[in-house]
Amino acid sequence: MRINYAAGLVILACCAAFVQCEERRGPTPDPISVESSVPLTPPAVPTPAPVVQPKDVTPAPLPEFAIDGLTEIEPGRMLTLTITGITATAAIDGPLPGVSWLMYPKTDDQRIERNGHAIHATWPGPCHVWFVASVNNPDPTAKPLVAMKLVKVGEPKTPEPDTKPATPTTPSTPSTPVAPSPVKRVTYVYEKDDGEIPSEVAVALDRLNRDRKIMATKFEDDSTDGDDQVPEQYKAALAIAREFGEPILVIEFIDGRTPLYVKGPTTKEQVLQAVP
Amino acid sequence: MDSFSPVDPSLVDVVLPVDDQGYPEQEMLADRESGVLFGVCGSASRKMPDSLRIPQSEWAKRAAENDRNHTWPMNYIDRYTNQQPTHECTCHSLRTNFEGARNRQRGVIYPDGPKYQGGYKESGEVGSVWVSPLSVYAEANPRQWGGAGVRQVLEIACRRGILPDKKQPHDYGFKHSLQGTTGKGNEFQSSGGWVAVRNFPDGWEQTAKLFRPLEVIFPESWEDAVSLVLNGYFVSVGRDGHAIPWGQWLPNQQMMAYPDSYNVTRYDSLRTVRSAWQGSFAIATVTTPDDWNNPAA
Repeated sequence: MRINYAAGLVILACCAAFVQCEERRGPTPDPISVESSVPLTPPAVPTPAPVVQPKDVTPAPLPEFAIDGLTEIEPGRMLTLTITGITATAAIDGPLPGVSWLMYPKTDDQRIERNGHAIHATWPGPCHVWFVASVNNPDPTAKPLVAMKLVKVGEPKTPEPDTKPATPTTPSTPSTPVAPSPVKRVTYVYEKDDGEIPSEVAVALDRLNRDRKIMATKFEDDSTDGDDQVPEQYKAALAIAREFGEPILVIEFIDGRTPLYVKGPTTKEQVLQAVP
Repeated sequence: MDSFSPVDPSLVDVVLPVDDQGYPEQEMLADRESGVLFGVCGSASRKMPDSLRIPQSEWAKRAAENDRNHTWPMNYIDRYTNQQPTHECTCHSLRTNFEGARNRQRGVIYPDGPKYQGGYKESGEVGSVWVSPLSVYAEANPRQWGGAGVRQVLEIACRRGILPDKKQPHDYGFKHSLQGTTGKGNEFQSSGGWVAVRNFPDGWEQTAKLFRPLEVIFPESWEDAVSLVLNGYFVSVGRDGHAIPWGQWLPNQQMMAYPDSYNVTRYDSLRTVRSAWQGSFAIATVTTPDDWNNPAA
């Protein structure tokens, strides 16, 4: 049995992309910042040049290079888009060509597979996002292949006008506005001689600051203010750290209720899911 | 800020013209004497903690993590400075180290690294404070020209602190401030004439003490220096007549990237890193305000 090495590579690549997509459909991803403008018109992108075929040869169909995936997704959910048609462009003995991506608007929370054959991203709020993928044309003298896809993120549904008479049913609960965060401050208390803050926790603090406007900082337990005193804002967190050990994430509330804490967080999710 | 991409060779191992050099060789040699820098910082001095040492086998992985999370030292400063044509380099390197440490404590990341125009709108919202290199240099070298040693500027900063720049991303109401440089400056750094310390604003010490290094780590090898950078700490070094702060490690090319005080990012090769690490330092923590939104209090 002749082993088709190229086909095997294609199969492995597809399997890897599939596994990556499945792994990413997990818990709700982290909120991130997003640009406010909503581009409804995609940027101008050159279209591929038409293929010129010799007269005596039956033209082979062009591979259908396209972006596959959802066209609508909820805010905060991980969107995964994959490339289709790329396998048809593979050389028999060569690797699959890499795919380049553009996204409008951009998001910080994105990950592109090493060969560009899949992209994963989240947005915190409603927007329209254009994705543009490009790859080298099998014909090296022709322009790159380009595919585009519009994805709607969390577009609110327009309620249908109520034309029917009201029927006696259980009264519906009126919708309540989203309450501002009850959190006053989030502090990661640590001793640097025992290790620096994990980078994912640093990212989580940044997200709390930027996206939720919560004062989220780190405090090395020997730090003082300009008068060599423990800063007023950190006294409560430091007391909790001294009692329960470090490193520790302390969550204090505006209404003065008992603070929460998380011992030794190491991931973004541990921090962001702990903060109400 | 991808640490695996190739860089412009013209930006590697740049040696400034002699007239622009603000780190004299005799100062550099003195700073590299064993124990000298450790001694000048007094209670702020710290040996390299074992917990911050990263095995070389993990450097690339850590670099990739920093790329993904934007947690390089370069991601903890929001601005460049521009000292052209002064000899203030040791103090500009100090300010980068200081602001990086302070912003790291504040918990805010600047994903595109430092800028010299445009800026980040959130700088003022999160209480980013820009300090004045001139406020230290004026004491380190009252003659203005000829540069200063790292030990002088470190000692001054640890003892009495640094004044805020007259330019800030937000009006914090500082009672005392000073122009950032007598050089060109930029959109985020004020420029002005030379000021002797005796002509600083009355009572300036009360504001300068709010911006002091509290803990300063001294690497004990070039590998320690790389580990510190991988952990998000700037490492200030002096070499070839110029002082700069290493802020990113490039694993493939074995280089350090640094935000030079000329509105530009440049690079030191491994050869330079191996020879220059002695006499280097990393500010671990700085004085913390009672209210990040009111740093003048």
